Amino acid sequence: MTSEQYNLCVDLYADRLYRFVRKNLQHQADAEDVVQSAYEILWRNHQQVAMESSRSYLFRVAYRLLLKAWRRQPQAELSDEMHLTYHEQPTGLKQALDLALQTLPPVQKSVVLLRDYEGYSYAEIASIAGLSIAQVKVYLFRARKKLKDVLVSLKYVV
Amino acid sequence: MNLNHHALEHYLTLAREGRLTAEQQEALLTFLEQHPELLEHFPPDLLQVLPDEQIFYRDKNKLKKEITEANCDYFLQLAAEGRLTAKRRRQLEEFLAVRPDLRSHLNGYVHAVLEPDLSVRYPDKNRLYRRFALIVPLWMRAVAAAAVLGLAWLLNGIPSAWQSAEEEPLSVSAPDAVVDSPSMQPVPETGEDMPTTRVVAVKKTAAVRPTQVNDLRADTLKANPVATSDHLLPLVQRYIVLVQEEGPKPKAMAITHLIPETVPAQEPDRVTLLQRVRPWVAALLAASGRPEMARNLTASDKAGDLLVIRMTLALGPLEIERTFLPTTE
Repeated sequence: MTSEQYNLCVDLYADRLYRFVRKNLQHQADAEDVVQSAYEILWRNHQQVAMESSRSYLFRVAYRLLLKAWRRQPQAELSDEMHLTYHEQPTGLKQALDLALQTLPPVQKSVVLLRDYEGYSYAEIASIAGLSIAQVKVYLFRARKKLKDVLVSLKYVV
Repeated sequence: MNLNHHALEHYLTLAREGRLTAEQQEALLTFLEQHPELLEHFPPDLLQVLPDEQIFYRDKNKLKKEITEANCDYFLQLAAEGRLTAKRRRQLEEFLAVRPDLRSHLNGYVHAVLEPDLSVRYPDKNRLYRRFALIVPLWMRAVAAAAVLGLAWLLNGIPSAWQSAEEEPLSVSAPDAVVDSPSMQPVPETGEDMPTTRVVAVKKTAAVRPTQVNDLRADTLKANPVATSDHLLPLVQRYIVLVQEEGPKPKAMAITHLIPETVPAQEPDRVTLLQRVRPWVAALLAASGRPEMARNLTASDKAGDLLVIRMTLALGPLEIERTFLPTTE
């Protein structure tokens, strides 16, 4: 990848990567740091990374950085069974979905975001997240079921 | 094979399938006579051989790929993602016709497919871009520097600072000419109670004296306000390198940072510079695992004094390296 292609990667993927990271981290500054670090790593290795695989590379690096960030979080926040506790009633379907998303365990959340935001295939998600394809399917199934259960329980869908 | 409690089940299976020898059948009946309590658990036609057509797997439906209540979530998810085949869609519609109460679950899955909020954008892409200056041979730099100096001299006369014994150092990159640097103590222009700083050059070139470049620029700006730094000294390379002084040898933090706006080069004192670049320096510190220093930097000027800021500027084809060191006073 040339320096021009690297800068093109900034134009093409910075916003998308930021949206993915921002949904996974509560703090904006942390999300910005992760994106910036991912691009720093891409730049350090830009001569070994082809332009065609740069998007996957960025998401893979960002996911690794997210894993580190999650490990720094209190264990309670990483519980596999998280329950939705609303401090206030969501005012619409989108807000309800956002809140429901925050209740997902980190890996489930990442998998569903990679699937829906980026349209990655099971195999690509498995490569990015270091999972097997079967694991990706299971995580995705559970994540969607939880999101659906929240929306149904809150009567946002009939 | 001796018949006991453990082998009983195997014997019974063989008996149901008519595969017991006469000897084994006799042994089984004898065993059951000795243990009549076991007969309660078996049907009366225990030893009656079943015809093949009466042997079947009870939970066959669980093995089929039909849509049932147990597996409907899987198919509802596929439907929500639009990945069902036409045949499966028909099957799902037939299933939902029987179970209309599950239609809300299909709607739930449809709405549970996330859509990105395109209004969320990375706040400052300039921090991510990489820009590069043209690498110019040393002899060309020297010639260009001489030309710039001559032009400025013609416009403004001899800068008074040339005649001063105290010289403000500013180096032009010359890797093979590293020497000890002179120093000076500029007065901060902000009027605030800032710590006194010392500007120290780390390199100088034999072709152009660092002070000449710096003083000429300052005098030119003073004499001709129209000639802003953008005209005279554009920051083509807008990177800052922070150097953490740890121990006797400064340790580079190996960070370069692209400043999203041009830092006016006519404000060379460290205090002013720090004020202008503080947000980005803070971001650098935070990104390098020094969030405490970043917070301190934004809260006061004191933490910034711990840093050495090294800037690479550009004067036409010249690369000018300027290092701002904190004073120990």
